[in-house]
Amino acid sequence: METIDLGKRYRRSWALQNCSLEIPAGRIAALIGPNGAGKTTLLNLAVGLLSPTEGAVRVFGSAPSDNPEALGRIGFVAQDRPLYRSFTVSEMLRFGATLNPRWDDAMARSRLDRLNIPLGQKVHKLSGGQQSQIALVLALAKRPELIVLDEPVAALDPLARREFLQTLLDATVETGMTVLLSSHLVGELERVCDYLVLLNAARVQFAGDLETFAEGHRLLVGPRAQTEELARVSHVVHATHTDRQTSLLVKLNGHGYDPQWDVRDPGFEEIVLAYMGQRVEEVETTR
Amino acid sequence: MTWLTWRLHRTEAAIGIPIFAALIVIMFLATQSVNSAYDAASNLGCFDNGDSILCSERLSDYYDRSSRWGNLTTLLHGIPLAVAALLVIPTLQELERGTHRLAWTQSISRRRWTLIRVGFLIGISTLVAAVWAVTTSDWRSSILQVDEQSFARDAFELSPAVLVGYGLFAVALGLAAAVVTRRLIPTLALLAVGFTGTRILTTFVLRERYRNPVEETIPAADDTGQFTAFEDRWILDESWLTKSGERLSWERVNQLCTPGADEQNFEAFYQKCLVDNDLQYYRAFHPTDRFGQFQLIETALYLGLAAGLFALSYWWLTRRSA
Repeated sequence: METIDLGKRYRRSWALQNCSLEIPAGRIAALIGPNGAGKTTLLNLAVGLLSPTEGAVRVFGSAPSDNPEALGRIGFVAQDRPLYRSFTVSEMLRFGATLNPRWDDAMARSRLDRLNIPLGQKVHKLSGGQQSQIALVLALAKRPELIVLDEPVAALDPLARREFLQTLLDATVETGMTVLLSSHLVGELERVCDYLVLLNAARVQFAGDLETFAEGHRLLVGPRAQTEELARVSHVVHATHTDRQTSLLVKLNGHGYDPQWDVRDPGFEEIVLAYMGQRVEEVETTR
Repeated sequence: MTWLTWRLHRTEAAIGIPIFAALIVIMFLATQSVNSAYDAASNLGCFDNGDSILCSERLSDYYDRSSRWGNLTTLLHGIPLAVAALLVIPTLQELERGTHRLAWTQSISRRRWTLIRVGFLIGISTLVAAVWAVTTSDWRSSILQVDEQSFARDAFELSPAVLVGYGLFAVALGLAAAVVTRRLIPTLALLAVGFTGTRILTTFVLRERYRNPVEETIPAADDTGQFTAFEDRWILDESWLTKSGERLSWERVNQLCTPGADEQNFEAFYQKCLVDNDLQYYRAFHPTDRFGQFQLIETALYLGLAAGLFALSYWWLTRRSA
C-alpha cells in the first residue's frame, strides 16, 4: 500500500494532508496518533470508503475506491466493528460468502470453532470480545493480502485484547499478509508491529521501521533552561518544564551535551508520546 | 444477494405481509357487501324507479353500506406510506448502525450495492401497487356504478397508474430521508409529512389545473334538461350569470325566484323565472374523456419526483463519504 501526497478535506478543515508513505508488503504496521490526527481518515481512504480530495492512495497498484477487485484483496475491521446485530454467526458467514468470491468458509468455521463461538448464536448476544473476533474472522476469510484494522481492541478487556491480537498474528504468520493497525495502546503495538506510521495534526511525522524510529533519541533532564539554546546542538522533539527542571526529548544530530544535563535513553512509548504531544505548529516544523 | 436482501427485510416482511393480506381480505368483503346490496336493489329496478317501500329499503341499505365501507377505504390512502416505511427501515438501520461500512468493504462496488437496494425497493413497491390495484378494481367499478364520478377521489386515486406512482414516490422519499438523515424519527417524519403534503397538494390544488377547464355558458331559455341531468364530468364551478355577465350568488337567485305560497308547480315557476330574468347558466368542468390524460399527468408527476429522489439517494450513497 502506498499514498502519494494524499489529502482529505471535510468542508474547510483538512483531516489529512500531504500524506506520502509506503507500507511494504508483509509488514505489520502500527498507525499511531492522538485523537483527531486523521488515523480513521487514512484507514478509510485505504479501504476505499473515502475518496481523496487530493493525491492518491494505491493498494496493490490500484485505487481501492469503488473497485471490487481491489476490495476483495483488502480485509477491513472498522472502528466499533459493525455487524448485523440480528444475524446469527453463521448468517454473518453467509453474508461474507455471498459478497466475496475468494471467501474461505472452512477457514472461517475452523477459526470460530477454535474460539468457541457458537455458529447458531445471534451476534448481539455475544460478548464484545467475541463480536470483535467475528469481525476479524470475516475480514480474514476474504483471504486478504492487506488487512486494515481501525482501533480493533479499544473496547476490549486485556484478556480479550490479547486473544484478538493472537488471532491476528497467527493469521499473519500463516498467510504473510500485510497489516495496518491503528490503536492508542502504544505498548501493545510495540510488541506486535515492525513498522510505524506516526500521524499528528493531519500530517505524517514518521513512517518507517519501528526499530529505526527510536534511534538517536535521548531524554535530557537538567535545570530549567531555554530550549532555543539547545536547538543549536540538537533537535528538540518535546519539552516539559517545571519550576526548577526541564525535561527534553531530543533527536541527536551529532553534537555532545553540556554536562549539566542528565542523559538517558527513552523508551519507545516515551518517544511516541513526545511526538504525539506536539502542538500543530510544531508538527509543521519537525516534519 | 437475493438471500441477503431477503434476510435484511425479513422482520419488516413478517410485519407487513400479514397486515397487507388482512387489508386485501377486508377490501374483498367490502366489495362483496356493497355489490350484493347493489344487486338486490338493481334486480328490482330500484335505481330507475325507487318509489316502492321495498326499493327504498334496499336503496338505503345500499347507500348505508357504500358510505360505511367508503369511510374505511379513505384510510387506505395511507398504504403507500406504510409500505415505504417498512421497506426503508432496513436500509436506515444499516446506515444508523454503520453496517454499510462492512458491506462496502466486501468485494462489491458501492454502485452495485446501491443499485440492488434501489432495484429491490422499486420492485416491491410496484408489486404492492399492482396487487392493490387488482384488489380494488372491483371496488372502483362498484362505486362507479351509481352516481360517483370517474374523477371522484376514491375512483381516481385507486386507479392502477397513479397507485404505482404514489408507491414509488413514497419509497423514494423514505429512502432519500433515510440516506440523508440516517435517523429513524426524522426519516419517518419527513416521509409522513412529505407524502401527505404532496398528496394533498396534488389532490386539492394541482389536479384541477392539469389542463384548462372547458367553459360553457347556456341561456336559461335553451335548457333542454342538461342543467339537472347527472353527467360524469368533473365540475369545478357552476353559477348563474346575468345577461351582462355578472355572477349571481345562489342566495341572490333564490331571492329573485321566490315562489308565492300558492305556487303549485315549483319547477316550472323556477324555470320561467330564470328565463324571464335573462339568466345564463355557466359552468367550468373537465370532461370525462380527460380521465386517462389526468391519470398520466399525475402518474408522470409522481414518477418524476420519485426518479429525482432516487437519483439523490444514489448520488449520496455512491459519491459522499461513508
